[in-house]
Order: sequence, then C-alpha cells, then structure tokens
Amino acid sequence: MMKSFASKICLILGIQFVLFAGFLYWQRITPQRLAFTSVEASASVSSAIKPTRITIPSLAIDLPIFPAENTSGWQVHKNGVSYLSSSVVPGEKGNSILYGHNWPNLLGDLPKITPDSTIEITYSDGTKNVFVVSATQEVSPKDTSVLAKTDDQRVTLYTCTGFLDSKRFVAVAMLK
Amino acid sequence: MKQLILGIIVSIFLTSLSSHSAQSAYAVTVPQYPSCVAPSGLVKVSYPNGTHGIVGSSLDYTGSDTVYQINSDQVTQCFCPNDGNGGIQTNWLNTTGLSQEDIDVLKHDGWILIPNGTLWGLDEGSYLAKNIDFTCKGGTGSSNGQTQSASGSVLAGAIQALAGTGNTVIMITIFLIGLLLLSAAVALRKFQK
Repeated sequence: MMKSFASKICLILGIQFVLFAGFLYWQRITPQRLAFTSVEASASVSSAIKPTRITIPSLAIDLPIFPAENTSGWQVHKNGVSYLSSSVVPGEKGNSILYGHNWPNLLGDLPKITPDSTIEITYSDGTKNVFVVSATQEVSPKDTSVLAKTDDQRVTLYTCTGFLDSKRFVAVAMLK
Repeated sequence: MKQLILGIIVSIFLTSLSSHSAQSAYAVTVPQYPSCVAPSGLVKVSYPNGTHGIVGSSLDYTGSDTVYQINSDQVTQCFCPNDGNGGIQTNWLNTTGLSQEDIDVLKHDGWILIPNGTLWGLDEGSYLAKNIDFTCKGGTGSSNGQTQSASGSVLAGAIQALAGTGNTVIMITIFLIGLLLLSAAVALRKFQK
C-alpha cells in the first residue's frame, strides 16, 4: 500500500519535472512566443530616449530591447535583449551594455558574428544608430572588465556560451 | 535501448560533476586579466604594424600589437593580425611569489614558463604566459580599436560577474530529476509485484 502510494507520487512528480524541462526547452526554441506588446509599453518608464530594438542583419537577429537593472542580481529578459539601464544609452560616449539569453530565438547565433558586422540600434523616437563590430572574445563570467567605462562610443553585447553555459561570448561594436 | 539512453544521460551528468570537481581541486588562484576587447592598464608599448612573436609559437605574426601593464606582476599583450582573423591575447604572470608547486599546476593548465622575461620586452625574472583567442578588426594600425586604456571601473557598482544568460544546467538537472523519479516509480511498481 505504502509502496503503491510512493510509486504514484514519484510518477506524478517525475512527469511534472520532465514536462517542465520540456517547457524550458520549448521556451528556448520558440521564436517570439512571449513578445507581448504590453511588456514593451510598460518598459518605457523614462521620458528620455531609450533603445528599443536591436538588429544584426548578418545573423538575421531582430529583437526588442528592454531596460534591465543589476541591483540584487542581473535582470535578464526572456523575450528580448536586456539593456543595462545604468550604462549609457547606445551611441552616447561610454560603454553601453546589452545582453541576452543564448536561446536560438534570442542571441543563440551571436557567437557567429564577425568583426566588421553591423549592429543597428533603434530608439524610442524612431531614430537609428549603426555600430560596427571591432572585436569578439569568449571570456570567463568573472571577467567584468568588459563592462568598464570607456571614452569611446561603444556597445558591448554578450550572451552565454560554452559547455553548460560556463563562458560568455562578448562582441564589442563601435559607433559608425 | 532504454539502458543506452539512461547510460548516456548519467555519463553527461557525471562528466559535468567531475569537471566541476576537477576545477575545484586546483589550489592556485590566477588573477583576473582584462579582455583584449576592453583592455585596461598602462600601455607599455603599442605597434600599429609589424612582425611580432607569440609565446609558444615559432611563427612570425604580422599585425598590430599592444602591451598593457596591469600591475607589477601582470601584463597583457593584444595582438591583432592584419586580416583580423586569429587575434591572440597573451596573459603574462610574473612567477615571483609563486611556489614551484603553483607553477607546475599552472603549467598543467596550459601556461608556458618563460625563464627570462627580458627576451620578450618584460622586466627581469621568469614569467608564465597563456594565449587566448579573440577576433578583431584587422588592417594596419587598426589594432582592435582598443589602444586606449579603459578606465577599469566597472559600471553599476560592484558587479562580481557577468549575467547568466543561459539555463542549460537548470534544464538538464530538472530533466534528470524527472527521469530519476520516473525510474523510481517503475522500480517501486515492479518491487510491489
């Protein structure tokens, strides 16, 4: 009787765990399934011009950008690219930090980017800036040097890579 | 077939565990080096073009080369070839303060021991060096666009690490737990009979 009960519990929990793992996998591969327009609208909390969209033509990447914070840990959006709102707006003097999941529907193809590729950033006022990739590298997650302030006008875009997401792929692009 | 699939899953899990424990076993803490995509430190030398040597290789490399002094013990060399492909970051670590055991561990981890740093334009003493690949924008004098030194201060206060932008580990772990629970359910049913 007891074993039968335990067996049923294991069966129910086991199915739930496997289904949840399946959901996480589906979340990674389903393009734009969470691109709710309401999220984009609510993300616009400042009247200042903000980046709203990132396009990388060579990789066929075209994604919304959402402001994110790093207060008690990194905020990572699941339906677009996160923009660290404490960094400068892309195109202003300094280092603008953008990052996103390495899921196929987000920045999964980012490691294929090459120097001289272009990254287009569209802003909330409809204007656009073009950045040209100057360097890329796979770094340790502890390498925060890529977040350092700079005197140029750059965008630093990164995502997870490597075995079990143990590394970060970083692309640096300069304003054209 | 079921046993084969289960075996593969268990092997992946054990491999990830063993690699993690192997990393933990190393006692030597290597200081952090800035990436050549955002180098920091004092520019020691900078050549917009020329032929350069790379530690651990007997070949000549043509392109730009900038060397950054991070502190008295650490130097980073950023070499960018003219065609942009195959940029090499060489991290140099003065062995002063390292025991022979530390040096042996780092050599095992891919670092190369250079007995005389002056032959490479460094200060006197022996160094350990390690090469890391990166890509850069080639062309004479273009370097990687990084000959200026970054300020070194990190945005948004004391950020300890970059954001985790993948959930592969969580996904695999949840899947494995599910499989284990299902296996337990099957085993309990069989045992019951």
